[in-house]
Amino acid sequence: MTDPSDHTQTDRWVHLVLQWGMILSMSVMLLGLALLALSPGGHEEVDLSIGGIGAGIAEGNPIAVIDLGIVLLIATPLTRVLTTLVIFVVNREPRFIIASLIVLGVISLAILLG
Amino acid sequence: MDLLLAMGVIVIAILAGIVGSMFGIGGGVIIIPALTIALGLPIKDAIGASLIGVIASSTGAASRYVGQGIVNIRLGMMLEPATTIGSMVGAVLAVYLDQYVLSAIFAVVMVYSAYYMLRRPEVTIHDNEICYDYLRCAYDDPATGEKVNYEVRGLKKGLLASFFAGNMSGMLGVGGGIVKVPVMNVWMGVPIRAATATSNFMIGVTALAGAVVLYLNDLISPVLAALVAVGVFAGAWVGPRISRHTAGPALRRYFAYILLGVAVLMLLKAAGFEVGLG
Repeated sequence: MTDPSDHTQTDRWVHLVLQWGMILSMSVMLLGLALLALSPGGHEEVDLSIGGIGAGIAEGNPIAVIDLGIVLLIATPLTRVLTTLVIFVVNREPRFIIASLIVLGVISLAILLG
Repeated sequence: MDLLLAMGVIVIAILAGIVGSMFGIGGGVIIIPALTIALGLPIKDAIGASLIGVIASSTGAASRYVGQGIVNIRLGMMLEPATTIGSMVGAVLAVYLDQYVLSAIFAVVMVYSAYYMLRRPEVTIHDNEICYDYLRCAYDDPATGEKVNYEVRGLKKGLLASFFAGNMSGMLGVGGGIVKVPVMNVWMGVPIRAATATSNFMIGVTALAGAVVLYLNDLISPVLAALVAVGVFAGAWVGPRISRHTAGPALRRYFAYILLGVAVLMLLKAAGFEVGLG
């Protein structure tokens, strides 16, 4: 039987990941939108690779800052699944380790086929 | 994008965030028709922005509900593989099946779930009864302050239902929450508050694969998606604070009305009208 404290511990970690994912992605997106509002027009959409976004931000392109915010947001649920996977491995909960791995597998498959 | 249009997008996103986070449905069902029909934006941009909005809604709302201990994380993790596999299979099958017939069948299932939610009260149990011992089966109700115990029953049936629910949503392009909540509430005996909170927790992962695929194929319009995400975050901040003061039975009744509303949209779609879904 799972110790009730395991539930509390899982809650705490998941809460931390979701909260920081929200704070970081929202701040970066708001910054990008504010920069765009201050200097509207004429910004090229950037190459969406990490390098492309980095170069765009270095040039002061607001769209690149917005892209970074979107990447941070998309990364949040992924980080959440990885975090719970680590918790389940540490707690030795095989059925939940398998469930997490299947979800990660299906996501990877969708990305590879997409 | 001009300022007026941007304001319109944000207002829609805030509303979608409030409704989505209160009921665990992500809000795609509001965002896509509103952006396409009300604001006249292209469906391609609306779908990308909506997926980003669902992740924002899930992240914002689940963060809050997890903090309150209402989300059944392990139940969510158990059901997640069934829905994700189901929706992938659905996306493949969709090519071969008649969308109109599917929409009609889906509408009927939704009407049945709504009827069940309106007519049958929820069952809660006493503390000493057992449930699956590896799943949590209790939370403190923020509206009443009471500890609510519940039994997660029919896990196998729930997994199967989740698979078909994912299937339907993959085939019809309807978000996962609108089916995940009835599966947990009607078929597995999870109280509406825990079911909506857990659905909020799950849908971010359901939307993840789609969002990455669109992002890598350059199909997400960054400014529109960011406006939607910021608006939805604001809405998802408000939604849980409203639901906190809403009694469980009322929450369940409102959910049934939303189901009926979506069922009407699906029936219109079955009859050949363009409703901006899928």
